[in-house]
Amino acid sequence: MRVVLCDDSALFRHGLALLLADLGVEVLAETADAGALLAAVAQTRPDAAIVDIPLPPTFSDEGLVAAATIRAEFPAVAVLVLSTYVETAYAVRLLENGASAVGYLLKDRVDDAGGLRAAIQRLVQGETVVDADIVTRLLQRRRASTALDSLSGREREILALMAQGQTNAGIAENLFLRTKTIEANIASIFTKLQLPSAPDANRRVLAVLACLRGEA
Amino acid sequence: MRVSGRSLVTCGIVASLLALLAGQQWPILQLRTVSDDAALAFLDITVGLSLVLTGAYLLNTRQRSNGAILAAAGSLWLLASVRWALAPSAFIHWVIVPIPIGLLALVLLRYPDQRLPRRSVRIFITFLIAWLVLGRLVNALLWDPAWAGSFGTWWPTVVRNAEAYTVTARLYHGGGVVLAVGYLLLVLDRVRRSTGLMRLRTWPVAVLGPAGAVAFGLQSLNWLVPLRGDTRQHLSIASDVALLTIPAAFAVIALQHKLEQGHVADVVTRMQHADSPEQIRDALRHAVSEPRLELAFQLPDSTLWVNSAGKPLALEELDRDHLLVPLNDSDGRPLAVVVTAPGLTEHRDVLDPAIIAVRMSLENLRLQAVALARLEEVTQSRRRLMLAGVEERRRVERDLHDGAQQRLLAVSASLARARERTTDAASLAVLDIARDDLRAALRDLRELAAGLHPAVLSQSGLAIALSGVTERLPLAVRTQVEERRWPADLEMAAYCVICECLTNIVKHSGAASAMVSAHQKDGCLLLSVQDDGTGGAVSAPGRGLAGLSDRVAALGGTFSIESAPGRGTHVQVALPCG
Repeated sequence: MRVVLCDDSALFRHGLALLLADLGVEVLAETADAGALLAAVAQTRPDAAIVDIPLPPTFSDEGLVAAATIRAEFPAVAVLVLSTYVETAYAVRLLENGASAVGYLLKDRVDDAGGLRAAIQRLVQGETVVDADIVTRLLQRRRASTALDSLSGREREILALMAQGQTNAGIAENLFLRTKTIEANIASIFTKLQLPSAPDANRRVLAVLACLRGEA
Repeated sequence: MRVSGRSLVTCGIVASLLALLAGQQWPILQLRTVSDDAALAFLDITVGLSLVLTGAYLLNTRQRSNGAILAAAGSLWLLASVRWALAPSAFIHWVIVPIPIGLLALVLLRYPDQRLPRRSVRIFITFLIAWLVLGRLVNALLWDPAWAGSFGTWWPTVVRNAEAYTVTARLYHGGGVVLAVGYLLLVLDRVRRSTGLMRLRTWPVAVLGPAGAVAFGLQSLNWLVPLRGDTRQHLSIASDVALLTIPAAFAVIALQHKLEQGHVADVVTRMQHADSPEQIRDALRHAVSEPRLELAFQLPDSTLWVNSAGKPLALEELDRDHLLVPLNDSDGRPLAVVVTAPGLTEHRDVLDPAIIAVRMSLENLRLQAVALARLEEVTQSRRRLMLAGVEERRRVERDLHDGAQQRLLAVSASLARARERTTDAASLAVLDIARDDLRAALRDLRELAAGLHPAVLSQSGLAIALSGVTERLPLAVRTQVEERRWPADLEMAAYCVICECLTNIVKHSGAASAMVSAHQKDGCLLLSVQDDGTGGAVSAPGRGLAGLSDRVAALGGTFSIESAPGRGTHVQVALPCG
């Protein structure tokens, strides 16, 4: 896998580059601002771009803007936002522009090399990855009354793992359940959330989006 | 002696009745036929008495010497009105008859000052009185009472020459008429020269004053021109009536003065409510009836003077033909200078209270300005302090985020690499411990940074920052926050206010849901936080709500809370965006 990095903290960026190299991920370019990132993406056409949110010059939301631009202009390039902030609003914004090949993970996840590599892999395959902390917070959100309330505890657990981008097998492993059980629960979730018939992967993304947007 | 207006009137009436009775009863007072003499005697005594009483009244005012002269004139008039048959009174009467006229002319030309205004007037009055007294004396010395059928009366006749007497007497009275005309001209000149308060306060004298001249002129004419008996009679009566107008004029002035003082009091009251130097100047102009009066202010740290509207004034030039009254505050520091017509010094009774009021008003105004400036200063410094605090926390948060946190994350990445490279179980166990500790450290650091400053707020604004807050709360919060950016201090204040309100709701209200809104309207950021809890929240010093209202006040905003028991709590805040 070939990636470009963008983070204004040289220390972290460099540490990440070394880690990715160890994981067999080729780092094509290390950039410190959105402009340089877009240039590097245009030039190297990587499999994925890994980007921080606050970047020069204003240190506000440059990373999210760059992510949207990359997804719009280079659909073949997946985007992983690596952020220090557990902000659901950022994740929602990221996924609003299309919930495929984008991911939002906390920088803290760099302590799990295998998890990081798997996440990048899933992204490159067009899946969605959302940090577990973000999903937890989304599911904890209190709403007046939503379809999410109709889900059982087990179904909510499964939705959360689904939202993080886990496969059925991964979820089954995680919850110590049989894959058949997971499939049955997921079918129930789709029904309760009244998601339209669609290819399975797409429905999964819709479920995650519904969860993220608080529409469910 | 204190003479009130009422006692003055009473005395006048009693004296007039007495005079009438005297004219009726005592032949010694009678000059001509009984009925005619009674009317004249009544008028003569009334004139004399009213002059004495007016003089007595003026003695109690600032017009002491004028009062004394008026009283003397009245007394002499009374003396001259009573035709004593006894010697040598006839001669004395003869000599003193014209003196009251001279004294009245003197008073009327002096009033409202206590001295004669100009040298020319002083010369005129000296000449007038000399003419009246000496001319009369010369006449007396050439006269013989026997010519009038009065024998045995003591009389210091020097030369008994009827022809010489007639010539000198004609000369005397002719001169009298000329002097009367001269006096009239002086009075008119006086009226022409006076302005403002001076004119206002002297008009009765100026208008009625010529009465003295007319009276004197009539008397002289009475003597000079051969007239029929009843015509003479009428002229004498007219002369007395004309003289009576003089005390009347003073009575009008006294009344007017009382009204003026009331007027000044009114103006003083008005001045206390003035909130600009112009308003104070206008009130002062009104108080002293000087429409051209100006207030001069020295510019701070400068020798320049400006008027109340801020236009430069050449004070040194004005000093030549204006009255300059410097006003100092109670600590003796100069406040302003009143620039006005010079004649105003003679009206201290009106000017002084007005000036005191001006001084107080200006001092008030200055104190007010100083207080406002200090308040503004305090408000500004409070805001600066708060901003500095916010900025400092933001800086520390950024430092933590960019420094320690990134460094720890880099360490985290390195640890992950180490884990990938080792298969040694013992090493893996140690690396796991290190990873767990590092996770804890990062979590602590993130909480510390978030507590210092909500980074998302500066990154993405109020709406996103608040959504991050509300989703963590154990109650349903509906938010309607305008998606736009406000100045950083404003966003920070709004964020803190809303967070504090939400914390209160969670801690105290027992509410199941809340509603948060923030939007801009009429140059203000309007915040509203409403819950469906128990209500009854109070803002007491030291409590969270009081801290909120302080923070809002520091930004010049307003804070209101409605929290009736059982009806939830509604906090509304308006923060000016300017």
